[in-house]
Amino acid sequence: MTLGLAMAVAVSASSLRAQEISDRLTWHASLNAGYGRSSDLPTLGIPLKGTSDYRLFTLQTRVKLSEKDEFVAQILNRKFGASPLASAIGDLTAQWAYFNHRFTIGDATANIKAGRTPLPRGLLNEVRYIGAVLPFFRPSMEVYSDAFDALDGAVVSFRKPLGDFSLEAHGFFGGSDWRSVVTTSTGQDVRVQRMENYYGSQLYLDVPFANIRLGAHAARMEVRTPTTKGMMTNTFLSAQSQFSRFTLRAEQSNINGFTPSRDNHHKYVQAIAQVTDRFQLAGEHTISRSRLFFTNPALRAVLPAATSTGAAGILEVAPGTQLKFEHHWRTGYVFDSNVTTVRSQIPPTVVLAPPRSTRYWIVSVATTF
Amino acid sequence: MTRFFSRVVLCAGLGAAMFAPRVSAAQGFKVVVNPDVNLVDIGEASLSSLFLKKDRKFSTGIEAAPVDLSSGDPARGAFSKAVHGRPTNAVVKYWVQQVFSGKETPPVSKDTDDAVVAYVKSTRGGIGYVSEGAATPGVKVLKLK
Repeated sequence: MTLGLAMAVAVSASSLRAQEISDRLTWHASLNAGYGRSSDLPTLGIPLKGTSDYRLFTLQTRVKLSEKDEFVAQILNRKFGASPLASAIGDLTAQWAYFNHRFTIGDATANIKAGRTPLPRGLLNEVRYIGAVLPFFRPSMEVYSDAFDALDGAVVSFRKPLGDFSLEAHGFFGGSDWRSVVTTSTGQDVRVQRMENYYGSQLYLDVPFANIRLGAHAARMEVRTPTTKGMMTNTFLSAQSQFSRFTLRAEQSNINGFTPSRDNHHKYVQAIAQVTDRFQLAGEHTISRSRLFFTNPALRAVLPAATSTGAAGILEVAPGTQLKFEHHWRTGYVFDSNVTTVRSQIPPTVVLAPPRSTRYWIVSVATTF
Repeated sequence: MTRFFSRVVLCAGLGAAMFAPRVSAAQGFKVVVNPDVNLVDIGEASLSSLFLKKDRKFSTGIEAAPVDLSSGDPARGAFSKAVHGRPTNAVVKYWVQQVFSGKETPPVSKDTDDAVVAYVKSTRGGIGYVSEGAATPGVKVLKLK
């Protein structure tokens, strides 16, 4: 009898504790999975024969520690076909794991995140893997590249109303990773670089007209690899407007570094039209300018602008779930197979090979809960 | 770079001027608030900020606890268009963006008018909306300015 009572009390206490935990715990997940095929050259992990090994899955959990404090963790599963980057990135990574504290300063709301946190950089960096909010499978690869998707450090954020305007400011310090397929004078190369002492800020201004959002980002970082070391800067300008059935977006990223080959400029414009309540059309054009690295300092070359143009149809098949079909035309030198960039190099003359091109398409489903 | 962005902003501005949304008068819903909130009316912009959690407090200083109807509800559709100036799926997308950029989580969501009224009545700073003909015992109906 006494044992039964004790067990009943224990069960009741543990179920109360479980209830208490479940009240403080929320889960969110997103899936972005597709099939892609390329026409002439493999690109972005998409081979000529096609791949279904193309997926981004995130699972996020938030634990409310108090009214002002929470712990957030997000796991990321990435599969990107036959990309050379697959050798540099694990299938499963801890994308975020951070403590978040909210506070107020006058009429401004503020928070500080510490740990492995989202990095405010441009309009889409923090949601780059969330297909349900993107018109294409991913944001412009040339502009966002496979870099800076998280910050190991701290981000302090403020949001302050300025009359009908609103200002959002973020300051950050820490380290981040940069993984990329780069063009060299001898072809393509996969690079994984660690950025440390990475600091900067991101400002957003929301304008009370046509939902205009303007952004400016500036960051400075120290590049550390076994063979290179030096400082780099990244500036990022953004503009977005959502009005009636249209969304317009444009962004530009400039990277300047300790060697000329680090000077890259990328920009894109994007337009999305809500054709019906459940169907959207989207278009995007990216221009990318890069310099070429030579071991001989007497040689210099700027590659002809690489371009990427995409068009997509997006059907909302259920609330929060989209089916996308996208087609892209890509010209330049960065593909998943070795493409000749330099025909000859007799100092001080460099003869470049003509840029190559391919078309690729992706059909994908994107959903969240 | 500057030229590129000035062109983009100019195009956006011209486009916006041509297609600027018209916020219709509130129809198909009414806004309800906990009786402790000392307000009789509220502007659409303030209401939108509270429901998008851009502002966390009423002008009276009380912390707001907004509650939404579920995304398929016609009253939510009317509220989204009139107050946020965009359809419900755009608001849902806004919340996906907030959640997956590590920012805010969406307001509590309830399936029925009665559940919204019960939540608003029992929650300090509770604010929600229900369909125009719904009964609202124990809560205050706010006028839209």
